[in-house]
Amino acid sequence: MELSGYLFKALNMLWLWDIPLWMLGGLAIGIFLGALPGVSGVLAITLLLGPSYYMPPLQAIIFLTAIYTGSVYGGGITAVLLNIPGTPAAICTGFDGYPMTQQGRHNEALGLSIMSSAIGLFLSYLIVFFLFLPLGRLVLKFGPAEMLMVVIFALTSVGMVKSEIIPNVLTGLFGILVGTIGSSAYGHTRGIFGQMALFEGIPLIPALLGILAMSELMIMIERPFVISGGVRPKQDIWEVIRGMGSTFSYTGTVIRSSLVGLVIGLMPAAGSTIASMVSYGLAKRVSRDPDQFGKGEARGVVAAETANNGSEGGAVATMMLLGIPGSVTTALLIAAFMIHGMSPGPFLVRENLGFAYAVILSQFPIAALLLFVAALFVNYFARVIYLPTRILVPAVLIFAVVGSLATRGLTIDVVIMLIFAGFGYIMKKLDYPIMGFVLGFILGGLVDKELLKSYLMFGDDLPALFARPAFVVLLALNIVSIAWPTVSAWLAGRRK
Amino acid sequence: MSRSLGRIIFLILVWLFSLKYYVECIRLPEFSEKITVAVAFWLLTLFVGVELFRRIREGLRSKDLKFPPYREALPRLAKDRRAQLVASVIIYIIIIPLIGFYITSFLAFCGFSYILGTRGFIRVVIPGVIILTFIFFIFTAILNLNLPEGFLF
Repeated sequence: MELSGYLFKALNMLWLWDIPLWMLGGLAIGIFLGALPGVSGVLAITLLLGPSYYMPPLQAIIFLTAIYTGSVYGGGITAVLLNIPGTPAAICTGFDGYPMTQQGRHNEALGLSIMSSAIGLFLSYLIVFFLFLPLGRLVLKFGPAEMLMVVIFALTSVGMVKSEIIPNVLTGLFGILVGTIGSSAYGHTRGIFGQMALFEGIPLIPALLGILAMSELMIMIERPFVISGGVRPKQDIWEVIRGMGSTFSYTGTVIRSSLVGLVIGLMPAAGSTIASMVSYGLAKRVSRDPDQFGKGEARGVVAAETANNGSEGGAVATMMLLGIPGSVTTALLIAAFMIHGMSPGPFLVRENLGFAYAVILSQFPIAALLLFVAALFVNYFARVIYLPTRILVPAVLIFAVVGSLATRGLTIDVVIMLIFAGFGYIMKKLDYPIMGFVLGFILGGLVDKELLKSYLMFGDDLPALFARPAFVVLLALNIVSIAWPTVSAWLAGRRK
Repeated sequence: MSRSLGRIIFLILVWLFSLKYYVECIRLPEFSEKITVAVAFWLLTLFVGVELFRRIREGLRSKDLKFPPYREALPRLAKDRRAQLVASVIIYIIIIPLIGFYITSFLAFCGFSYILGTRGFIRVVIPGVIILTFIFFIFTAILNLNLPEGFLF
């Protein structure tokens, strides 16, 4: 089938009355929670992963991707108004957004961030839309050995990007071990501690709720409010709209930042934070007046916001094509596909390409809706940070329990959530990376499956693996990603 | 407890758990069903070894490898809001299947709010009623989610 065939099929799937409602709901929840520093869209997606099991698959994935989009944008609101980024991806937004607020230009900055986010999202998905089919055909040529290398690359590149290779690989390996608990391919049980409820493995949703949401709550209760202090500048919707319009004065920055966002988003583990940093740095470097950056330069806000939203298209494309997550958020989206019986990667490309195209196409109306939702309610979303934790924490806790009971209704799932919450809290307190563990945990089952297949296919003839060009290239990439932090540190030491 | 000591204990516990899992897996009859666990375990052992060495050296250099006196630690733990919250969550989980999700959750919400410093009957009860009503309409009435039912509701 050609692109037009998949396009028709996807449009047919999207032609449902409730789809716009899920988009609106997802965006509102995403922006609301994305604006909460330390909470972000991860909490929102984790909490709603369980209930999404009861939705039809397309509505569930669209709802969760809308939360993702909303949260990436929402993180910029508090960065502009209070210099407190709701998400790490919004750090660079605050570099110029907050000085603009100090100059009384906060409405303009908010308008710029809304329009840049929507355009970044739109452009990145537009490119993904055209590249998805050819890339998908390439991915279909991958065998188990290549897929194993891709999964290992996803795990090792966390260390390459975050530079601390040992803690990342260590937690990733532990994640793989925990992810393989349950029955083996031959039906024998592994590490289930006598609990038959673990026969199919540790359930994803309670585990993720514990390690991502509950552990964050334990840290949040240490303070009375999500943030304390700060001023509440006056909001003016017309000034926000004027700010949105002024984004078109920076067309070059918008296009460049969208491309930077897309390319970095395609790389496993790089994500929106690095995309916005690279884009901001590039905008400063090519500017005729780089000294203005950090002092309220509108281009700085545009570059950061376009790139962090633009990275979403790349991250979702990598997730659907290869089945590897670029961040915790896309790891959660993989879990969402899994609970609806789909496996992102070559299987999705082969069996559900129409579905994948429906997800990509749905992002265009989400980008349009983002403009309206964000412009109309930006003032209300900004107030969320003044919510006292004594109300927020018990409410989220009850929602987390509902989420963990959602898929199977077993009390043991709540116990699993609590165990993972304790583990996540300790990891956070001791500065061990949660991302490595989460990636390993989600990919553990896949590693096990692909390693088993590779062993059965090439166990007696290992040299045959080196006759496969894709395998050799991916193996070389893995070696580079493992060696890179050590080599770069050594090179930096020599330069000094 | 010092951070260095905490890290060392954490690494040892992670390794011990992995060892127990590995020992269980190597008894499986087929080689191919234990290969992932075996590879991951031995690589983990290598990385835990390196990380432990780094953390012990770091702790020795900063003289930061001290256990807190338990006589001080235990009363402090009893007053800690996180510990109180965890204890009440454990009680909550035990009671859910006995009494039922909604009543237990309402009581738990009030308890959590009280532990976190909310005072006054209305401020404790009203948010609980609103949130549980919201959960009932969204999850039970619309999504038909099966939440545990005990002898109450």
